Amino acid sequence: MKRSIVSVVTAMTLLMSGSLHTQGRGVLPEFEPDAPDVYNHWCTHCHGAGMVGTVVLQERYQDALPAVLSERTDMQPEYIEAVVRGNPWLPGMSAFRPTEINDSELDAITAYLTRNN
Amino acid sequence: MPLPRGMTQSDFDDAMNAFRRAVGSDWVFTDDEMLNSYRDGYSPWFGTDDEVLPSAAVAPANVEEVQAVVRIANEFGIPFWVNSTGRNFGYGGPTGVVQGTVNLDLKRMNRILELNEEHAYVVVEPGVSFIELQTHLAERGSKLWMDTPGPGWGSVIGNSLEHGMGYTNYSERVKYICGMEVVLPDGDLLRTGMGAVESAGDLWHQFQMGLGPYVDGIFTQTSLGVVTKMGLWLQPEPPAFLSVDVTAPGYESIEALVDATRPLRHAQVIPNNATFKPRFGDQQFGGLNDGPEAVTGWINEIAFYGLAQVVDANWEHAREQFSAIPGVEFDVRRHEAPYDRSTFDRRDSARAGLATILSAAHPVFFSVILPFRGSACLDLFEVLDDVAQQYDRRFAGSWTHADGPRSLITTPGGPIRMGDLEFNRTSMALTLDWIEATAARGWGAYRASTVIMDEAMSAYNFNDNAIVRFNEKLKDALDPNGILAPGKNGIWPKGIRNA
Repeated sequence: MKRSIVSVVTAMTLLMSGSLHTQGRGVLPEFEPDAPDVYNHWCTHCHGAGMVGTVVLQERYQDALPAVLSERTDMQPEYIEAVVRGNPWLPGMSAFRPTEINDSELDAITAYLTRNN
Repeated sequence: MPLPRGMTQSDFDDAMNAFRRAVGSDWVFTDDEMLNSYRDGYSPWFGTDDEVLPSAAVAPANVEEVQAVVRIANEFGIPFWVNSTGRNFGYGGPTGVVQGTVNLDLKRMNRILELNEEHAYVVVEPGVSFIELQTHLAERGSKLWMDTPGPGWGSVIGNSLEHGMGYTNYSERVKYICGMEVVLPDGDLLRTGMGAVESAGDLWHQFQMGLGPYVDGIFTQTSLGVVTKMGLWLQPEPPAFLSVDVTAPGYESIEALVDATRPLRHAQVIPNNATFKPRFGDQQFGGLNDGPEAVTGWINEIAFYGLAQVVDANWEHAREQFSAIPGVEFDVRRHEAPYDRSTFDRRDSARAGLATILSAAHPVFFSVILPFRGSACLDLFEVLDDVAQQYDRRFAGSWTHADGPRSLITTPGGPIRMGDLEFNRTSMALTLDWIEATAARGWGAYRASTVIMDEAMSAYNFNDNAIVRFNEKLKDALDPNGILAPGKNGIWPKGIRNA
């Protein structure tokens, strides 16, 4: 099975350590004004600036790629779809069920994340 | 994906068609692609033959549809695993105990039915998450605060029914549930408390007990019903909010911190879920090989809510009690209404009832109840560390909560590495040994992951497991066909009890 291994200990250390506390921001995500509602509703709580998914991706990418997803210019729709729906061969994020993000909402998320490709 | 046990493909197809007629064909999922999103990505067995997989998912939109699919399940012998938002990570996520259960997905039932400022409660459906409730409260300009667990993407109903805790003075959220609507395993509809009185109106959500046995408890951590509505008391915005991190140096300081906290919790001087967390230098979490000697000190996270003078007086009294502890320090944050809680220090988000997502890592949780004594914490950590050393690991100490005013809950867990089966096998063997070792001391779990439910329940062994036998009598009476959550918390329907 090819999957990235993120050790719980490393991830939790990252997520809960002081770095999150020193950014001078509040505790809630800053919503992205250009994003569709479905993105702000489901995604920015983890993938917004300074949020937990961003911190994990920062560690994984080490500046090779932007850690804030909406700043990426290389994401492919098939990849986004597979991660959201919990494709078992891709790493990391918990899946979102069709009762949470339906297919047309997933299209809207994909369109937003690929808008600058 | 696997079919439910003993079911033919043709019966299964007939059942799916019946579900489609009940909820619409868009809301029955049987293809693997879609069902992947109903798997627990944090399961230690993910991608192996031992991973519990769903055969299908069905998503009703309202109470009538829940009743309809429950009746169909009885007709065909379909076992359901019920999930509200599917985010019970660390405890099994959306998946069940038995292969091939159909996931009864309640996320579409996502209405906030009533927000009552006068009587300080909210009535929600199961699909409403803490983040969604928080957004609703903000949009309405509500003067009510909710209580939330660390990650806010879970269901208000789901987490509260699972005895989930938050960090405010309403952290024992299950005790603030007031009035349920429940679809029973035969499809009948029940309202509890004053809701059993046809014309009760908002009285349903003001008095919990009604007349006769107080039955709400059997619908928590349950396989006896599907809760479709729930009243929950919220706290009026306090005029003042004061949050303190009490820190003390050294591993053994938890003993003094806990013992100083006990009388303050008993007297409700400290009203919140006081949470004790170990420190590892400037880190909050240690590594796999860090034992107690790696712990440099403890934090006790407390908070006060109410009139400014009362808050200040309570904190002053608590400060005096803690001041006797060598090396103790206080980091105090104090706010008065009107608030903008979004600007609060991140450390205060949970204590101020704000739903956030601060963690994406999930061990297999095995959450133990301890007596409210500092020495009990040290005893427990020593037991866990002794067992861990047999696996070439160490255990230093876990987050420990004075959630109820009379006991401690601590949440050790077997760490999981996604995709590393050998590592996960070791973690699971270690976790099972932990359960045995703690049970031998008389410490039972208050909540356990789906992958260790039987083992966790086996600690409840008074009089030949009388509590399990009692629960299974209820199960047989209310759910003779065993359609709801078979195996949940070690309680099995008669058809497969000895299988």
